[in-house]
Amino acid sequence: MSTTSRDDAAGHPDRGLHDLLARHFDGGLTADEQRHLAERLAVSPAARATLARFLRLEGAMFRLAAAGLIAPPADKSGAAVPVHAVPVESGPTLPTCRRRAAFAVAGGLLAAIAVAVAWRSLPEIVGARGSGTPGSIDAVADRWLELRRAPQSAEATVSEPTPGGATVSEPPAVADSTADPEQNADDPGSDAAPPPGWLVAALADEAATPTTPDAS
Amino acid sequence: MSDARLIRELLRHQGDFMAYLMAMVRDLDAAEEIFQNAAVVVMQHAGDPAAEIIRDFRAWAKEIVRRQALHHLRTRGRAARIAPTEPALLEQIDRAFDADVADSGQRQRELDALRDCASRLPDAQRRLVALRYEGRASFDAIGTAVGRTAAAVQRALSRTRRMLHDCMASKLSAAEDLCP
Repeated sequence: MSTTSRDDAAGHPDRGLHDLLARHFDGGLTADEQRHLAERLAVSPAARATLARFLRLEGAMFRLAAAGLIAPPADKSGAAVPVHAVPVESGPTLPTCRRRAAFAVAGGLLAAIAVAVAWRSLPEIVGARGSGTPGSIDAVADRWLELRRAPQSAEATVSEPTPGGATVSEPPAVADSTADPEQNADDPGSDAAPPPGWLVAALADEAATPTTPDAS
Repeated sequence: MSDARLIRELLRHQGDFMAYLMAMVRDLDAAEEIFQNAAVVVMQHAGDPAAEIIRDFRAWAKEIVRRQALHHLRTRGRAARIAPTEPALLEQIDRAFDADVADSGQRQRELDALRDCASRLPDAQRRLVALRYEGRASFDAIGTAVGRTAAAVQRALSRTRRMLHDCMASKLSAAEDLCP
């Protein structure tokens, strides 16, 4: 699959499309521009592939940021998380196709080692990223506790799709805190919902094991 | 699916979901809040026998993320700082995300290329990006920090995103040309 920026049949980059997409992520498009962009995307698989590439770029930016790898070196006050510790895909890195054959066997072994190392270092990664980082145990735990304390705000939690079902076409149903408790199984504000075991275990581990030398 | 696997999968796809949410709501604070809500829902499935049959975590979790985002847009759209995204565009964003078949190797190559491209940005430009993505700062806050208006910061970040995209594409294209 091509990873390059060729947006039309002739293989030329579409500068106008790139401009619209780059501005969209910062909220820089008017409603008319958004509709124009949607029309272009609707009729062009190549344009949608470009959007997918911008989505991956944005995701990669968040990954680099989580590892502290964006700021100029002079701005960094502490040690950054090594890039290998960023929780990204577990597949091997293959710089060029010329090396693929040579790395084919070693790649599988490295992938297994990388997964094992990444998992073992997960507490350090989470701890290093701070409590304000979305997806960290602290952040999720904070959110859980917040919703537990304020059941009325549990409206933010919406029913989930069926496990195993990758496609759900009907409009999503919003959990109603006054409805059947069975339908509120994911409502952390409900009295019937105890803290999940993983959260209790993670918080207990964190309390027992300081993540920084100064934490004690 | 075990607790450990759910956490690992969620962290593995966190960047993708944050990107998806940024495209949907175009508001970093809102995207973070929605992601956290979605993470709570995902984690509540730890130990759930039904979760054992999840065949495609990315698609399953993305549906949770999408529903949370749509709920946010419906309930807070009018009060949001940024005008809601057009429904037709939301549909195309969803379509592009679902159809993206980039494998882990390609994503890693893109990450490596982006890291190199980011390191070559002028310090001032790199600082803006760091304030936005590492510091999670608003355009206003960044503007105050660097002595520019919020609108100027917004435009500068969009320009930088486009530069990084072009740089990344150029690097990957060069690598592909070496390996036809």
